[in-house]
Amino acid sequence: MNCMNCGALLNDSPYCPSCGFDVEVQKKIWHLSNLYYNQGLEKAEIRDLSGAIDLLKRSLKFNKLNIQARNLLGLVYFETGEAVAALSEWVISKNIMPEGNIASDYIDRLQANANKLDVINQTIKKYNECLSCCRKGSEDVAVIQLKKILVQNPKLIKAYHLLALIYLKNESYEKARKILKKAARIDRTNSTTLRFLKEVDEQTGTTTSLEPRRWGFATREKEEQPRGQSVAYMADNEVIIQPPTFRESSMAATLLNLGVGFLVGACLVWFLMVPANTQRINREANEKVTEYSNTMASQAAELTRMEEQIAESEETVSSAQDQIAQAQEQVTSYENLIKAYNSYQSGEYTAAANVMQNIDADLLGVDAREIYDTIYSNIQSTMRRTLKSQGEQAFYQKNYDEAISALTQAMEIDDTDYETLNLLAHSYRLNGNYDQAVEIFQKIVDTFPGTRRATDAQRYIDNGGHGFDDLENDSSADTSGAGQNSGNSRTSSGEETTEDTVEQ
Amino acid sequence: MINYEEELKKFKPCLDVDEVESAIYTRDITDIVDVLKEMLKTEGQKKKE
Repeated sequence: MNCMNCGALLNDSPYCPSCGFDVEVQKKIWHLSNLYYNQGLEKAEIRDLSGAIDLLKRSLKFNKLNIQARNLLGLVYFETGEAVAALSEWVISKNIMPEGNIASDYIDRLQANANKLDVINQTIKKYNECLSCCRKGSEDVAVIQLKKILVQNPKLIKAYHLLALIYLKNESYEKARKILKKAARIDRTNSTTLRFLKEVDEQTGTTTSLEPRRWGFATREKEEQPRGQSVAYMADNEVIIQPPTFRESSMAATLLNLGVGFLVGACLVWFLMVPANTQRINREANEKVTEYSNTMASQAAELTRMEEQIAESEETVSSAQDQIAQAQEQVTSYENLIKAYNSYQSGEYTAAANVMQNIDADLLGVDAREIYDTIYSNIQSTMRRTLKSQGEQAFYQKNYDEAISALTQAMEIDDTDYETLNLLAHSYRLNGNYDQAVEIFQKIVDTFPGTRRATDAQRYIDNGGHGFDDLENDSSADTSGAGQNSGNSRTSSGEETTEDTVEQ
Repeated sequence: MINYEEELKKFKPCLDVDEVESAIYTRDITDIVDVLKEMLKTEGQKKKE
């Protein structure tokens, strides 16, 4: 602090140590300047920019050399969007104290960012044009321009006021309220803002709340802010508070915000994107499973259909083979019939009978069947003898199956021949087919009732078709007798003669 | 009730960057100390006379 009379450096004395001038009033004036500066700083810290401007201007009225107050006034002007007024203050400040003045830094920083300065300058010019448009009555053009201005320079509080005024004129009170709330965030106690808001409240009947939303970390941030920013120092027994920089947020707050942002982003990804992605993957998998199931079902149906076709084909093949076999059999029967017919015509009845045995009459046609029946009726006795003879030979050779076959056919031709029946019954018995043996014995009993033949047959029937140990010899005798009789029949070559011999 | 025309008159054009120099030169930065100095000077002249 220098003497206002001689410019000498003052000390604690109320008089100038150089010229002896009474500097008590000067000291009080400077004390008041510092007091207003401190109050202005407090106002600026709580974003009461209008109040801060008023107090800082007062401070400079008391002491134009108060560099801190002038620098802070420049900062506050800059914050309200009035870059030119801010530059003016900083230039004056720099002229007063060229060395160690933070105003130089502010000017350099502003000049270093030429684009930003140019944008600010453009918005100021546009604002002046808008003001001119409003005075000419072209509010519509002004509204469009002002919106653009506020996008480019959102701190220009005068633009907010002008836009709100136009909205008030157009009775768009809610739009005006929204704009004025934004203005209030920059400068809370601006008289114009508050006056316009009061008008909006009166017109809408709703009170506008200017209280910011409080969050947990916001409070903490506010508590940390003074620690990092404000610097207090003593000057002439006065406490001077100087902010090193005027920033809305500290580095810690920025990092905290970044961290919270990342956390919120991670939560969004985890709770929204991951479940959606999982759901999508599951849905796609389910669709594929369904598709594969459908494919498998269709393939299984196709397989079943093919298997049915194969079975049908096999049946067709089997049927065709049966038909072929039947046709071959039929051909064979016809061939045999022709052979039998030739033998019959040539008088070879035995050969005809042998051949006739191999003919399946069911396979023959109507005409062929007539021929067959004619031959059969004529050589029936011959066939029976032949079959009987074959059966006897097979019986004595103990080939009972062949004997049964031949004797059965012989019995079908003539079922009253005792020898045939007796040999057939014993063939069944000796072959172990006791039921069939009993059946044939019963036939003997029924055919020759009251005779010895019936009595013998009844004995076997009573014994369940089994033989007798003591009668085995007799049976052998009977059978040998039958064979002998057969032999006799073969020798006598007459059926009736054989039957008579057996009856004796 | 706000009068639009009256309120509009209160709005003044902002200074742009081109006008900084003139604004600084025309700026009245007189403080109370300057007034006091002037008063003392005037008082001294009166005493001399």
